[in-house]
Amino acid sequence: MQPGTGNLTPIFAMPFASLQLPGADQLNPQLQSLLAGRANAEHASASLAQSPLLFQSRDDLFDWPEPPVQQLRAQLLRAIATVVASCNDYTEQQFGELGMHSRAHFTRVLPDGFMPTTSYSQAPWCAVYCVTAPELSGARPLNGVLQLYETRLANALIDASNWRLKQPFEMAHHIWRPTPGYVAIFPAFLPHQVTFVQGRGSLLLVITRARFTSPGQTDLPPW
Amino acid sequence: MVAPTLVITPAFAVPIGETRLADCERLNKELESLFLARENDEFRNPTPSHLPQQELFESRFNLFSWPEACVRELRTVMLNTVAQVVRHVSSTPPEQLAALTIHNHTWFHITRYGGSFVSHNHPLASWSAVYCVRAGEPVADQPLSGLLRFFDPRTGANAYRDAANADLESTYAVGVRNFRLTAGQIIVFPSYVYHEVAPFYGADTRITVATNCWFR
Repeated sequence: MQPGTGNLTPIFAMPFASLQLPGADQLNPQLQSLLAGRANAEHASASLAQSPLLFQSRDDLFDWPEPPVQQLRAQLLRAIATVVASCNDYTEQQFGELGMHSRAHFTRVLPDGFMPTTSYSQAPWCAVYCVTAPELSGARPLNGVLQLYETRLANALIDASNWRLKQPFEMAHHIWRPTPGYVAIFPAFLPHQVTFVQGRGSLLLVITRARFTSPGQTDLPPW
Repeated sequence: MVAPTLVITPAFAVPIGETRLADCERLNKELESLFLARENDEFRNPTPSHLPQQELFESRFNLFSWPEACVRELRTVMLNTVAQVVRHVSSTPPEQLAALTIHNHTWFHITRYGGSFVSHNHPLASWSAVYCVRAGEPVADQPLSGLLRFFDPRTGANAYRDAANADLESTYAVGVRNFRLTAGQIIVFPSYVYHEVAPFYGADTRITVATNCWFR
């Protein structure tokens, strides 16, 4: 930054992380088999959007005892904790004393389906893990992506000086392409959707909400 | 002891105007015929602000400069409706509002199966409006098909929910507002509000006209 001296700081930055989980090649086929067999009315969420091309389960996935689910749970919570710790001023010891609570559901989007825009209450963090991704086809841009919405309204006044702002100052949606074995972690209040899927095969996601408690804290709101 | 008067104010309200043009069948038929005939590269928006989709045709933004009678008729209806909404919600004296000139960018969309429009708003305009020429067929098992969805600008206001704020009445409710457009319907809203069109699953076409207005 010149001339003169000074600082250029992203003062209202939004954390977003994309991580690859280890061992996904072995884990994902087991998860796919298990989850595909339970994408049915018995396990469907009553509150999340559903359609013939979109299935969303209840948020008790991490209560399932099956080893693939518990293995994923452990890895996802570790990944979330790593990201959250990186965003905070806690010492390693202080952070290790926090309690962690989570709810998770799985979402299956079939070809021609989409997951409508949503955000989540009662938890500050959301993690979207990709178990399987479809083989995309067609010329459609933004085919089957996770799209996190820009929500700042200051773009109402736009001119030549602010319409091409670079990261981290750009005012635009953020795109993440679900890739098996990868997880996106971001604040749960952010509106996001999975765009229309054009291709073959299903997009299978595990979506986790996570929150933390101070030592001794018990007064958590209900999920 | 006199009970204190309690006043509750919708302090951060977003005005969304809604009306429906009566006897719009003839007009819509003429507009549809005209738009379908001009669904080609000559009339396509050459500089779309969002990634274009094959399933959605967007015209140039000069629609209201077309001389065709049906377009002139729609121009009058839509801009008058915008002006009417402004008069309702503005405290500027009517005679001052009447002296303003409405400028606009106006275009049409033709959406086919799978077409959608990502969340967006309209910089450099104060009021926007959508007119529905043809709603497209409803699809029973896709209730979101083709919905016009407005996003609550109070992002994060629903981050904490309990029994006392989960079911606020419409004026105060937090969340997405969905509109299933019907032919002849006009929706007017502040241009800063983010909105999207959910994927359309009809086998026919969904046709709308949109305008962004600014006043001088």
